[in-house]
Amino acid sequence: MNHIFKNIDKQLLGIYFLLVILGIFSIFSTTYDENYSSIFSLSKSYGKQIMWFGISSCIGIVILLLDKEFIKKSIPVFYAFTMLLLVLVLLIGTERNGAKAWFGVGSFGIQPAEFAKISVSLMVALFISNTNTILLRQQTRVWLSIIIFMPVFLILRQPDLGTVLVFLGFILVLYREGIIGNVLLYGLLLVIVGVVSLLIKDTITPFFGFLVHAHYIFIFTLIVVAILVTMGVNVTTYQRYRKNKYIRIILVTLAAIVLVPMMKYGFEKIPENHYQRVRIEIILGLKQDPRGVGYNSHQALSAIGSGKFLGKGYKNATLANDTYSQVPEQSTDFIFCTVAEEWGFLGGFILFSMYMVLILKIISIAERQRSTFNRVFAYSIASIFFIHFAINIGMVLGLAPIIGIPLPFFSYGGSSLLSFSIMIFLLLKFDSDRLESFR
Amino acid sequence: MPNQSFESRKIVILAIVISIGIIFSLRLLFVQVLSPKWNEESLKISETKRIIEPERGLIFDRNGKLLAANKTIYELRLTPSKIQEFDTTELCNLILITKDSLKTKLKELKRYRRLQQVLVKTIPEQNVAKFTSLMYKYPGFAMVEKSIRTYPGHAAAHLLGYVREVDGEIVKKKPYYRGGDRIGISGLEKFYEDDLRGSRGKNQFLRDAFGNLKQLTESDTAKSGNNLMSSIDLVLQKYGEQLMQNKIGCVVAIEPSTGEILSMVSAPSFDPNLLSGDTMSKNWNRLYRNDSLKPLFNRALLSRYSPGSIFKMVQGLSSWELGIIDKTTKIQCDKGLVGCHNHNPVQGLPDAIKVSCNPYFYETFKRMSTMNEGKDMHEKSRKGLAIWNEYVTSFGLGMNLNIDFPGYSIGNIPSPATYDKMYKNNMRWNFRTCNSLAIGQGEMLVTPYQMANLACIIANRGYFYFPHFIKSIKGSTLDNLYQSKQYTKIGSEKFELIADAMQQVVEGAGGTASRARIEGIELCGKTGTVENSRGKDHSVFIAFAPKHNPKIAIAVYIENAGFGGTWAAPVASLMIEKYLNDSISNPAKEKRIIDANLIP
Repeated sequence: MNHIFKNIDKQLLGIYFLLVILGIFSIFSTTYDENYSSIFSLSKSYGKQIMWFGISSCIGIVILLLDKEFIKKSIPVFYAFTMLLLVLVLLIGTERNGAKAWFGVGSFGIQPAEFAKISVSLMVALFISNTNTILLRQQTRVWLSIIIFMPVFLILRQPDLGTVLVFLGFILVLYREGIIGNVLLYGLLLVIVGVVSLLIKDTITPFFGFLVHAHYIFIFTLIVVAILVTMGVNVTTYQRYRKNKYIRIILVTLAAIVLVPMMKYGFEKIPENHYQRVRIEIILGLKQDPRGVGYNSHQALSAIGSGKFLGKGYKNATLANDTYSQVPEQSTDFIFCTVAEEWGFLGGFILFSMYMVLILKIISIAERQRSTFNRVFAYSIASIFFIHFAINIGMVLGLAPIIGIPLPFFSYGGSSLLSFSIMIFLLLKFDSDRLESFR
Repeated sequence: MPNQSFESRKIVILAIVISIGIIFSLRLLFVQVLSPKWNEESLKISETKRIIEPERGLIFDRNGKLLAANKTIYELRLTPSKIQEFDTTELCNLILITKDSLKTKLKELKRYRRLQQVLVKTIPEQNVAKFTSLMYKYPGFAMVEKSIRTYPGHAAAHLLGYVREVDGEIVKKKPYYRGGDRIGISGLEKFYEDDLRGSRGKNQFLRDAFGNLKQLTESDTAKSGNNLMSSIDLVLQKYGEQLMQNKIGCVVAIEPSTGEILSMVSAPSFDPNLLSGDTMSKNWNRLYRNDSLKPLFNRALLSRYSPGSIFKMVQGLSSWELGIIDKTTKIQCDKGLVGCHNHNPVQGLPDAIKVSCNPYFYETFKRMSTMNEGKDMHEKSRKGLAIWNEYVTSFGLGMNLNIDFPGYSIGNIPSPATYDKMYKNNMRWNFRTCNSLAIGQGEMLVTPYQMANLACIIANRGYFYFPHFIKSIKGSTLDNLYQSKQYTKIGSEKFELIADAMQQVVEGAGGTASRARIEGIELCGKTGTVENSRGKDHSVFIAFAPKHNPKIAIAVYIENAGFGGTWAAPVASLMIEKYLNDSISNPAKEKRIIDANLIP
């Protein structure tokens, strides 16, 4: 009993409490009303969030007290149960914001998709740790795909694109476990090349005395980079592995070079005013449409920009605030706007740093585990937090499309706070047991 | 089963996580600190300015009577997309238009469905209160308060000028103004625009996403324009306009001891309220384009006329000052030189003025040339004309008199250069070429206000103040320009004799202005009858009264009316009597003038 609390990672617990409490204060600020100045009020969002924090803490303590083996044994049941809930919500759930994602009682509601993240993480960890991955690689991939894609398919039916994207995080886990190869790296590289080739303007530029199309300069740069990388391979890799690496470098470079004109040409093919094209152009900064498609992003960036370096001060937001409602969804998905407006760049940067510390801390916990189950689970949690952070902040900063996805611990929402808390407490539980299992 | 060979892959994952953190931090730095763009955007969407228009300053006459004031009217606007069905009959009765014109108007406005547009520029005053209480029945309609100018005196249109809303051109030239602002276009409204307009106030609000104003963040109160007290005497002005009805010409009356303009009538005139409110442009077009008498033209300040015989005082005084005659010099009335009427032989300068003997002044003009050294008459005449010009301009003729008014003519007093140019440097012209200048004819052009100023000079016995319309304006003292005496080149002791002569013109036997006589007032005057190539002679008269300590100096110029003593002199005397006594002793004289129609 005592050993659980003794072995618990107090740093992670500390970051967790800090983020939740700061989150509650931020929600309090967005909905602040002078006539209703008590923070403990169940009729207000911040009051409910406090209540959910209480519930989360209780469930957290229960998790810490449970037997690890019991948890492990109940994983398949838990997984099956959440899948059942995901089916049920499609049948008898209530619709909010266009997604049939809720089981609701009055103003309180529960989103089963939030809990699917946990059950999939647990299920993936259990499956990988129980399988001889070297012998049955192909079969493993099929089973893992089923485990991950079943909830994805169900959530897509709601439809809730944001939560679906979170499951992309499992790519990182599978990559780390060696189940998928360097695809991740190469894929990322190609995404960057694709975006850059869209950003390059169709202009003719002088280049070493020649007048060249800007895209050729980009292709030239890619070749130069490839040659430099090849030279790096010569230095760092043993001779017998070199041939393999050369082939990969050549293939990736060729793919990148082909991608450049294809992206541009393919993009031109989309009709000028198609909303998808407009959306992409707005994200890339090629176009502005503050009244139409780009409204949310424009309002969010304006609120953030108005914070400047030091911010306007707590409760002093004049855009990202319920009174002014300049930013949509300001206590949920766009909560960062309030933080950035009130605390400025300084506050925003500190918040980013706290999330970085949280994610890196979880990764470091993952890497110190001796059991595959623990490591995979910890990586799953890290990936889920990371995807939430990247998509949510990317969205409010105008770097990613507008997709409804909460910022962990900050965004108002009972289900998401509860599910993030359960993740943290499960991790704390498994981590505190890691020394026990050696005895 | 841990697979250690993939441990190095954690580096890639860490790299991805950290680079996202760095990219986001840099982006945040850019949005919040490095680029001002998003902060500017935030001000655009979160702040709303409301301009508070200042009250335009009022204009009073010298006795505190209102000449220009403000009136609130209500404009009816509507937003086509927001209107619902309403009672058209009731609306038509309220805004006094026919159903058909309402229908066509609505059709026209519906082209811009989301735009608030003007349906009626002025809701009839008597219906404003009723309409306000019925507004709830007309969603999409709005009553908008506007301030317009009114002129309660119904007089002095030319002096007061008018205001109208600025157009794009004015906004471009004067950045202070914004669409919907009003600006003085002419007259005192224009000249004192900066004082009258006041300064705008501004309320700045924070607003929400739906445009509701939430919080006042900044507030500047509007400052009303300064009230202006003008030198005009409304009673005298109105009387002058009445006397001048059905005549073409002008009357200028000045207080000699200050230079304050008491009245300035340009006939034909009009009610200044015609150029205010929503019928303004229609009226303006009518007055400007469709009236051959050009009522908008301010003759008192812009017309350039030959002064005629009233110039003989200037010619006589200059000659006397130069020593080529003295007060007793007798000159034969040589009708071979220039036409004259029959009169007794002239017994000196005062007598010459009293009987207005033309040859007398021709001779003085000749002497101005012959008194000079020179190899021929041309050279002597050039010198003579230069001296003449110097003396004449010292009377303010052909000179800029710095009137506080946005546009007046300066006239033209010829100099040797004038004739050099006319004769293309052919060195043959001499005093005979231009000796009609001696009797105020020829190339000399003088504006009526300068004629009134000439009367002031004689009334003051040798000096004048620059004529002006301003008496006082709140917040600033009268310009020094209007407080310093301007002297002529003539010794002041010589004027008394001229004043005596002018009194004889009115009161003496054989004087030319007996119609100007007023019982109990010593009135000094001089008639003029100006030949003009187009039609009948112009009738001119200048005067001042009382002879000692004069209170009013006046010039009357009536186009194509004939002899100066017949029409201009009685107009002047009626004006003087009205101003000094506030009553008219000879109603028959007044009736004769009011009833006369002298428009050719």
